[in-house]
Amino acid sequence: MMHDEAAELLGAYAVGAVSPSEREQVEQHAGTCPICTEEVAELLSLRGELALLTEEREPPPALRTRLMSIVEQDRLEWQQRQAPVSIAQAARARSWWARVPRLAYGVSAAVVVAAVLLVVVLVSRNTLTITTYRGGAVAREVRGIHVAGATAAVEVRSDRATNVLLKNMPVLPPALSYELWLIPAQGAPVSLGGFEVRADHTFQRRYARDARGFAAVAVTIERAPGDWPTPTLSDLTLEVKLAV
Amino acid sequence: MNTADDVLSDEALVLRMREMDTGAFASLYDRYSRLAFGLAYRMLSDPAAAEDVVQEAFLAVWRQAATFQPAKSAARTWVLSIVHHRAIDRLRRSDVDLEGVHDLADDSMDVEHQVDASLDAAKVHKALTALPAEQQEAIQLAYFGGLSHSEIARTLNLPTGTVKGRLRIGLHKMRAMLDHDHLEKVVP
Repeated sequence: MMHDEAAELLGAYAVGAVSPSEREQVEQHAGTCPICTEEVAELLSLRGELALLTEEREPPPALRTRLMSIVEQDRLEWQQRQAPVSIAQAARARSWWARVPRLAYGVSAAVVVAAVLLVVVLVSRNTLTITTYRGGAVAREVRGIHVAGATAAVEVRSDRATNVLLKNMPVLPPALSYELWLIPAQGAPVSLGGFEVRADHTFQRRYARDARGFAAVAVTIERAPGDWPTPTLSDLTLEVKLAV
Repeated sequence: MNTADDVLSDEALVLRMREMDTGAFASLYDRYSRLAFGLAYRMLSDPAAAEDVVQEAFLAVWRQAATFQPAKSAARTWVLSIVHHRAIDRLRRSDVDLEGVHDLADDSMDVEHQVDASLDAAKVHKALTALPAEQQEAIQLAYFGGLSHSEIARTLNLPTGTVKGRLRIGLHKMRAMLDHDHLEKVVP
C-alpha cells in the first residue's frame, strides 16, 4: 500500500472502521513510515476517549464474581510455580522440555483460564548459565484457532542466546502466521519474526537475541506472513513471563 | 469502605497488576466496568454479548498488564480501547443488520443524555459536537455503530473517499481540541 492510500485510511483505522485486509496493510505501511506511525498514535488515543460519551450501565454482578475467580486462580498458579526447581534436579533431567507441564484449565471460565506459569530453573554448565521459564496459552481461542493446550519454555542463556520451545501448537492455515515477541516492562515489544510449527505441533529455535531484561516472551497469531512491527494485542496466544 | 487500592491512580493499579495484585484488578474493574459495559451494550445491543466482551476485555487487561505503556496513553484510554476493539471484533464476526445499526447511530446522536458528568467526558463531548454534523455522523457510525468506512459509505450513499476523509479530518480536529484543553490545564 502506498503512503497516500494508507494515510487516507488512518482515521478509519483509528476507530476500527477498516476491513481486516486494510488493517493489515495500514499496519504494514505504518511499520515503515514514521509519519503514519505518529499520526496513528495521535488518533488511536481517541478510541478510548470516545467511550466516555457512553452512558454507564451496571454489568451483571456475576461478571465481577467470575472475573475475580479467574484472576485469583491465575495468581495462585503463578505463585505456586514461582518456587525454583532445585539445581540438582534440573541437572539430572536429560530433557527439561519433558517437564513442561500441561496446563490445567478451569471448568467455569467462559473464555480463558490461567496460563501464566513461571518456573525458574538454574543450570550451571561450566560458565554457561541457563535460566528456564515456562508458560502457556493465555487464550482458549484466537482468530478461530483453538490454542488452549499450547505450552512453552524459554531458555535464557548467559551467552546472550535465547531458546524457544513450544508444544501443542495448532498448524495454522496459510492466511495466518505465528509471531514471536520480546515484551519489555516499558516500551515497545520487539518482534523476533514469524514462524511455522512442525507437523507434530512443536516449534524449537535458538535466537541470537539476549532476552535478559525483558518482561515476557509472547506469541501472537497475526495475518500471514507475520513480521509485524507491533503485536495485535487481542491476538495474544501464549506468554512466558521472565524475571526482570 | 475504601481500600488502599481505591486511592491509587489507574496507572498505578495496572502496574500492580503486573505483580498479580488481584486487589488492583478489582479496583480497576470497579472504576470502569460500568463504562465498559455501557460501551459494549451500546455497540452490540445485546446484554449477553456485551457481558462476554467486557469479560474478554478485562481478562486481556489483567493478562497483558505488562504491555501497557503509561507514556503512550492513560490506563483508562487503554482499557476502553480494548473493550472497543473486542466489541468491533464481535460485530465483525456476526451479521450486522445495517438498518439496526443505523438506528443505533441515530440514537447515539442524542449525546446530551449520555454524557458522563465528568470533566473529561464533557471535553470529549464538546470536541465532538464542535465538528460539522457530517463528520460527527461518520465518527459515530464508525465508533458506536461498528461500521467500516465502506459500510458507512453505502449507508449514507457517499463515495468511500468522502467517508475516509470525514473520519480522518474529524478525528484530527477532535484531537487538536482536546490537546488544546489539556495544554490550557497544565501550562499556566
